[in-house]
Amino acid sequence: MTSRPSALISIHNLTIAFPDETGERFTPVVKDVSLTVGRHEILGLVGESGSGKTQTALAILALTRPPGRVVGGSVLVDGEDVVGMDEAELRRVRGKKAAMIFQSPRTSLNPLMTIGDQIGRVYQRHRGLGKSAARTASLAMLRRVGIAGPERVAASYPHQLSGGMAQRVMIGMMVACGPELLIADEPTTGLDVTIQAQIFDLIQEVQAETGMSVLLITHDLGVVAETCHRVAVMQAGRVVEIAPVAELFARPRHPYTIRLLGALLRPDQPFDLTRETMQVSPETVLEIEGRHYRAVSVDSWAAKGVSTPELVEVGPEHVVLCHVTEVGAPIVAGAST
Amino acid sequence: MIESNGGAVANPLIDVRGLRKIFSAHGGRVYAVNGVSFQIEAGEAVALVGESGSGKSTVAKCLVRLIDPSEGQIVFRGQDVTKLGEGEFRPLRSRIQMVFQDPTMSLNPRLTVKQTLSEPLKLHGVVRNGSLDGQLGELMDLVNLDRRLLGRRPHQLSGGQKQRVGIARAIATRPDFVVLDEPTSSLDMSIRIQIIDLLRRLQGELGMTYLFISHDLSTVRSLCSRVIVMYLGTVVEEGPVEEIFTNPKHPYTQALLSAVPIPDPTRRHERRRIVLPGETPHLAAPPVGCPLADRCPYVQPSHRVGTIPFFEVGPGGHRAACLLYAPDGDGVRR
Repeated sequence: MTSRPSALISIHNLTIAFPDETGERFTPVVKDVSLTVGRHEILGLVGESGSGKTQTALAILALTRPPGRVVGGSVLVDGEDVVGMDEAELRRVRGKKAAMIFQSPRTSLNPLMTIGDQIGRVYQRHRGLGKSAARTASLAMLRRVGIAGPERVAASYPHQLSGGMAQRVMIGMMVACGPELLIADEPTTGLDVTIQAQIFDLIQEVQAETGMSVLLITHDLGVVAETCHRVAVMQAGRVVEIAPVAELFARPRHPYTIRLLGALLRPDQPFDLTRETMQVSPETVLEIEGRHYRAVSVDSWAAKGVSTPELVEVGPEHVVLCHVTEVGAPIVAGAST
Repeated sequence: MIESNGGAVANPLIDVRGLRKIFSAHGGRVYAVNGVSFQIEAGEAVALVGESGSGKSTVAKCLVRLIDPSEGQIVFRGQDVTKLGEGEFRPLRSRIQMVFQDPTMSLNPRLTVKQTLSEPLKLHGVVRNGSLDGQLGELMDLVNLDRRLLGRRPHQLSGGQKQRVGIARAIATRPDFVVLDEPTSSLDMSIRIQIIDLLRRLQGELGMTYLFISHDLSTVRSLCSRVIVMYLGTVVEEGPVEEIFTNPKHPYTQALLSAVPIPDPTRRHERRRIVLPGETPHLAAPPVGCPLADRCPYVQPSHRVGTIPFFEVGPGGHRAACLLYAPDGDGVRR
């Protein structure tokens, strides 16, 4: 896989497992994931529910919840491996290096504290500001994230905010930490489409302004197309394809990505009545420098028990999970061209 | 407020007239639906779209009589069903069915698929003697479910399979009219399109009429032939699906459509987002004038009084409740 020396986040062969009911056997939910987040980029992490997106992201903050645990690999945050760090070391990472916003902002906020006090505390702790300077900074941040009437909102409690306002507040609070990476995990779940658009516009504006990196977890390829620079696609715990956003949409190579893009509903085009139900072969044969590799979907190789797949470079910044057993000639001509 | 005038269909399957629903909550009142009128012809697939607080789900619940409206009529095949008692309405229950948003919540976890699907058949006396198993098999085939799943309980099914059971239950009695309340919103994207394909095919094969309640405009465009847009308890625009998507007229519809993400990175820079300031308010009093007045960039003082009529704005019964389109030039735009 491509190694980006300047990457802010560099995940290598990460495997995270959870125990079954007996507590004896561990089942991996994230399998051998390698992934980087560059500086100043917005990386989309896409996949269906249970594909391991959130677990991968939580590992960046060493927030894998016991009894789940990282059983292999490393997660370098600005060059330092957070796997195995103690709490004191992690405090230097969380907030400062990477901060995260979640699906339900209201449950992430402290219900007993006013919004102004909560943001103020961030400025006091992470930026070392005094009380009144923190208050001024908090109001400025609320204004920055598009809150009309920041004084009124600062005096409010979380339950008094709408979902969209609460997410704006969360973004403001995390940005106040001055993180180099903002992780946004499905930040608009449950919000209306007009509010969703405003939240993603805000994330893009703040990213452009501060130069922070963003890891955006979503299942919505429309959001990815409009927001992200690069995309990593996950299926059943594995990253199956990574590419710049335009490249991924134009030339998906992994059968799973092809299937996802084939299942898109377009709001900007009439429905194609002649469209045939997408039948994607579980294998795609890729030709790379005159040799052929098999990109095999996760479900199909598990059944076959074949070799461990690897991310193979198929184009500039474009990698696909493949079996490196070379095949002599294309067996199945998939959508690869 | 807005009043419906015209756009009449000769013999509609469903005719909703001046529907209102006021909820009492926390000592106050919420004006959820404020005078909604529309008609649905047999065989149509109509979308009712809007964001939270638009009243679309309340309208749906009134249609299947999960709740009673405060005012107005719902006329089904010429019969005002709002006047019927529970006993009188029962025979109509088999003709009017609903598919719910979350199949995990709407299926009884203790019943097998077979028990779930047998219930409507027995209850409505649709079972021909001794033919229950045959009918169940046909039903499973119709929704593309393996007949072997009949013995399973909901927790042994995937999300997509559960929603297929929910659809099978709704169509078991071969209803004329099915209300689909966000039936794909809890499903993963690759499953979503399969359910859309299934709903399209069933409509063609069984000749059902759909009212599809949704905030997901991509799904609406792929399933429906006509769209009704609601905002704050009123209908603000309606028309043929392609008209609404390519030529939206009401400022609210324009803002709504401009917010839908387009899954095509090559179009990223063409997008022009129309942002309405603020958020949908809660109505503690009946709205006066245009419900969008406080958020609309084109608002005029005259828009804040009286009732806003519909104006014809395009072909195929495309109409918008917006004074910008008044023929006497009350508006300032177009």
